[in-house]
Amino acid sequence: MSLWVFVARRLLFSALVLLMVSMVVFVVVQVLPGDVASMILGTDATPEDVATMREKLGLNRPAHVRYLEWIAGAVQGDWGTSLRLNQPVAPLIMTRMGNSAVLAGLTLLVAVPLAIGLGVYAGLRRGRLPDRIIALVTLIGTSLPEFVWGNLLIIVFAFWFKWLPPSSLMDPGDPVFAQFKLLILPVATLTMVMLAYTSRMTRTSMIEVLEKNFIRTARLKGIGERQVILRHALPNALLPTITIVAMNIGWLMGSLVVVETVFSFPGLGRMMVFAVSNRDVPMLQMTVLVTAAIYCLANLLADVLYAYMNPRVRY
Amino acid sequence: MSAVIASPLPPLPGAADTVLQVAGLSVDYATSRGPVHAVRDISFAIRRGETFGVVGESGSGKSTLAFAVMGYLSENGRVTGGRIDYQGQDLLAMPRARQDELRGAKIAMVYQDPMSSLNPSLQVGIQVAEALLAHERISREAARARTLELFAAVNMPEPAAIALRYPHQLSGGQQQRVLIAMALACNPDLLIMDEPTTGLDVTTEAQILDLIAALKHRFSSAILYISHNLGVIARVSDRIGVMYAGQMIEQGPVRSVFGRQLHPYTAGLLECLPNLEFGRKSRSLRLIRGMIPDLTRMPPGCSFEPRCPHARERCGREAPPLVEVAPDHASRCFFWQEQEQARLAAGNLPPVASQYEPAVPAGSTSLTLDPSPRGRGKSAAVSLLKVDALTKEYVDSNKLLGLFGSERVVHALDGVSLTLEANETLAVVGESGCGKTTLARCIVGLVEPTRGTIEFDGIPLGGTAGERDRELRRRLQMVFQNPDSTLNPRRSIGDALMRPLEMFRGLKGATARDAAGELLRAVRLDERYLDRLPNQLSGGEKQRVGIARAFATNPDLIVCDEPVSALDVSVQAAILNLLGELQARERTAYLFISHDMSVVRYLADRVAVVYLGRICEVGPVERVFAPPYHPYTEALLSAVPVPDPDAEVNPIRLEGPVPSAANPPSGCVFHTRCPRKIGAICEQQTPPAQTGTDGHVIVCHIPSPSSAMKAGRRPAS
Amino acid sequence: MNTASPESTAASAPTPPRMGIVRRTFALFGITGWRGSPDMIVGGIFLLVHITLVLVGALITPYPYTEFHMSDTLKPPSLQYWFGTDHYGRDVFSRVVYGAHGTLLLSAAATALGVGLGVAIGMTVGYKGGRLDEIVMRIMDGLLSFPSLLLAMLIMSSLGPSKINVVIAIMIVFVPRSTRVLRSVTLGLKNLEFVEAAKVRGESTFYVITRELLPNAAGPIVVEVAIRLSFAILLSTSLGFIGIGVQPPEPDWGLMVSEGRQFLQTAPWLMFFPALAISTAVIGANLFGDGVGTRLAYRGGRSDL
Repeated sequence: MSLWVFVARRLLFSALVLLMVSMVVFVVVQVLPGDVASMILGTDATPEDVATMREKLGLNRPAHVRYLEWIAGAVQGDWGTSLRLNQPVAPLIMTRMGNSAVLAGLTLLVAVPLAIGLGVYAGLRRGRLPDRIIALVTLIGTSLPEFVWGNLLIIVFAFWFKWLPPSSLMDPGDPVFAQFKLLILPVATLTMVMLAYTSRMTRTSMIEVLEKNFIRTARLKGIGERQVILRHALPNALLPTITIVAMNIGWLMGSLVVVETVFSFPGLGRMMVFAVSNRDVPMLQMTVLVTAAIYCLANLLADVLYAYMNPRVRY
Repeated sequence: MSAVIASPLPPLPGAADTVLQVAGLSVDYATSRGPVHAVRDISFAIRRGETFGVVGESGSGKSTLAFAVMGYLSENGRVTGGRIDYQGQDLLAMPRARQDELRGAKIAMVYQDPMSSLNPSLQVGIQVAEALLAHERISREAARARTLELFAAVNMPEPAAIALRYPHQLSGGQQQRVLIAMALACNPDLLIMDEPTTGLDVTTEAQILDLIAALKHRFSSAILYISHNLGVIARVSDRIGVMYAGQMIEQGPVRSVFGRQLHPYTAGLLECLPNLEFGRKSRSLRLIRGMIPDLTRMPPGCSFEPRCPHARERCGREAPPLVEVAPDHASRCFFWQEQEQARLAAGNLPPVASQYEPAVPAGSTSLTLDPSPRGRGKSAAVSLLKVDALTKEYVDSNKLLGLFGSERVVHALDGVSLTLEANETLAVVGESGCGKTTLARCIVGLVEPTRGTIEFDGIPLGGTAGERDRELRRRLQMVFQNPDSTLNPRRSIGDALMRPLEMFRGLKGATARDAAGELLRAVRLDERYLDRLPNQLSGGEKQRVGIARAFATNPDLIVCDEPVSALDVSVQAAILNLLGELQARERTAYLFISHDMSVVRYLADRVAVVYLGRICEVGPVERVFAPPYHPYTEALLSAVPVPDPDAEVNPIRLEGPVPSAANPPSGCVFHTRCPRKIGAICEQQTPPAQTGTDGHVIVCHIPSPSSAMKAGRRPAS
Repeated sequence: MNTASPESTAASAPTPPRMGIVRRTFALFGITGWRGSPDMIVGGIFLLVHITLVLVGALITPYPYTEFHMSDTLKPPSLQYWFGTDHYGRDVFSRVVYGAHGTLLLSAAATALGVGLGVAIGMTVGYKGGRLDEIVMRIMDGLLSFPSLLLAMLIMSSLGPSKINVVIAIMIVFVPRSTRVLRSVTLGLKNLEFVEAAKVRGESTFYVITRELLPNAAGPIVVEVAIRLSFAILLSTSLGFIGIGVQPPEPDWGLMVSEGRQFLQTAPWLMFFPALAISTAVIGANLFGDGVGTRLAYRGGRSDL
């Protein structure tokens, strides 16, 4: 199977998954609650209000028609109008997504190399002091939720040392990079959490590879430990890391929601919290769909990269 | 450690060309139960151009010995005494950097399990060239050229193409050739081979052994060859050492050791090995009673004393030293002379199994607790098992929505027909991937055949086991290959045996327990085992429980899928004898799946030889193992390494790769590799089934030399 | 490395060692002996402390968790108020202990339901295979395309904020993940010979799954439960923190951190103690899961975030 056939199959598969995702979103947001209009308006709404809302949302038509209209609109760029902000959803999402992407991108840039480095190092020093220290740090890293990390960092760096601002609130129009300082604490928080999973998995993968027979072959070939690690252990150990990083991107998206809340950062995550708390159905369903699509894309890229790097997948 | 002479052997003649000298080597492993003395006081030397074979069963310490010489013990392993001298330099005292210079260049190793020993994500050419670049000052271009030369030297077809492949794209034999090429890269003085052919098919093994023999002359390295297989050791070695419980118990020139067998363990090992000469009807295999001692708590005396048929009081008290019994031949036995005399006196008389292990106690009950007559053999006209034109195809599809990818049909079985009578043993023999296991699985109902019929005592057997009648399931049982997975690790032996008793014979509570105990006794295990978990049993014991479980239902037919292939030879002998004995008592039929020609020769009444999902020869065992042969049977037989250094090496070898079952060759499926191919007819026409005497059938175009063979109808059509 | 630790030959020992009830329980999960599992023990102790808090919480709290002490607002930790008081003068210690009741029970329930369903579905489709497996796993793939917290938020938005809905949301998040883990465990087991022996006997699917496969999956299931429990605590407190999970005045730990944020500078104990409670519970579950996993040389459960 050539790589292209693999990519084509994987693309088709992603498209199917996205289709399913859109159905799940639609069912959960619009069908599950029963009457969406009264859900949006709350219990003390008058029947007239509800009827107006139903009209506005087009709820009087059957669900499958609404679903198809929604999907058709989404594909054509008509992402609906926010109920609370009375603005089209698309530009809102785009700006916020840009902001979140900066945050996520910076985090990946810092966390992934660091995590892999730590994981590889811990794997090589298995059972010794550096491994134990890294294990302890990463255990604490995974075990403290983002909002605890974020608040701890705020206390230390914003209140005690007064080096950095405690919140990343900024004008919606400002470019994200304008105030680089605002990004440091959120990125640090996200890095703490990301670091833990990836480095632990990299360590495991490294240890597994080091136990393989072909490492013994390489060592007994007399090529020197450096070569054994660089040529034989690392390439095989880092392969599964690709998948792990992709999976982490899903977790990172959840973390963004929390971290953006902690730092009042104007990103997609906070918009989603806003949509949920305000029952802004059009905004909510689009935000979730977009996020899931990005996650799918990340997984797709990871799979293709994995196949490209791994000779055993190609044949 | 016992006070024995460190090196009882006189200095070797021409010691100047001694490449490796091991003296008094001991290795311990630290474990939670205390130190395991894996290698104890071993001394030997290997000269240039000489092969020293080390043979022993699992746990004897032979691999530890090999890795100790390589300086690569696992973390808990430690050399506790002795020296390892490579060309006069003590390897153990050598700095790490110097060791790295030697390793891979002057001291190289070939491993068991070639697939896992090669880096899956590097092209094999690079992996070989790497060794050259690490040890020799040569350019990448020169390294590449040398790699291709090496690939040619190990008889690799198209070296340039192979060099670009990844390990998973090569066959097992090719992978091992890569490892051999890698080991030979820098013209090593010392080559260590640790079970290099274990796990390979017998015809591939024969090719690798031929290759090793040829390379030995060309490279004149000293070789330390480790194997559990006495036949392989006999073939490759000049001198050998027999290891038991960490010690060399006998060592010397290969002919002298095999010929005189001056230690009871050596003699026992050779006698419990089935060979191509005899079947169980003529004599049963000798056994070595008991099992390897616990290496953390060694008895004070001879380590073989608890299992030795000639043991005396002195043996339990005092550890025997390695004494020289003949020039360059030593045995670790006080009574080696008596051992030799006893063996000579016994001559060729068939030894009686009961001499070594008590036979079933007199008056022991039959396993048939259920007195009602069995439904077997209703009429003589109906065979117990009749398989007709059985075909199993696997569809290997990687299509998605039928849009992308391809579909391949793998023909695991292609029109197999055979019959099996009550109380008969039919062996199905062939190499890995030939379909023999699929056949077994179809019959017991683990796999549904695509086409064809299976009749059991005249009743058609449908589909999977779950769809069959309880009575049919009772009458048709199975014994599995792997002792470590044949029993549920979370359930006691008693549970494993009581479940079929309850299901098929309605026994409950104490009655079921008594019956389970009875079954254990029948397979020579203590009733106390009922409460044990499988991990408290040895491999052979677990296999016995697996056999007891199959016999629990009073079956008429037991399908045995390679039941002894994972066992050591001494354990294998005991299981083979047990199977024979139970069959004689219970009048059960066996369908015996195996890759091992010697085992088949020993146990079978009739044999079917399978190649690429088709039967190429079937008949009584004496006929199949004697000419006229099917060319494939002949190749299989000539590939078997015989435990006799003087056995002539039969030169029939199969060329080329085994064709894919997804795309079998036209005409005769064997024509691509057949050494006796007669012409275009083999490629174009399906060969006829030629029937000889006693139901001996050979499916081949070659006209039978005997007039008794006459062309017949193809059985599968 | 096969440099050979010699084959165990202890099989000839006369009788198996007698084991106490604790050891036997662990032995059921394939854990024998105590060596090399300090992780498990430390993690177990952490969890035990929390379980004790849940069980005896009402007995040791000095004040009802809703009781206002308007004269004692925002007091730092003291002998009277061990963990200090909040802006209504409520005793933080009492609230944290009650929070254990809420947060942990809720997380445990979600874990039990999610992993339980995952075990049932994963083992069934893994064992049966074929079309059923194909369909179920494609649905699971769909659910797996949502990041955990986002799926939980989506469900919460539809069901509305309440304790029971948090349980349902987390359960739905866990089912596909546990299903995938248990399916792969089952795939590793189902072709073993003792399972085939059961098939040859003609045992029912239910028997094979419950009697042959399940006992052998016990270890991985314990790991899965421990890891999922830690995720459940993280998820439920995160939902509480962003304000769409458990609602005030419930003393949910996440909610308490969120409420304490406005006094981060002046009364950091409001955030500190619930955060400590969350962290120790999660560390306990993680350590315990890791310890069991290491004992089993099992490395499957971590990968599904």
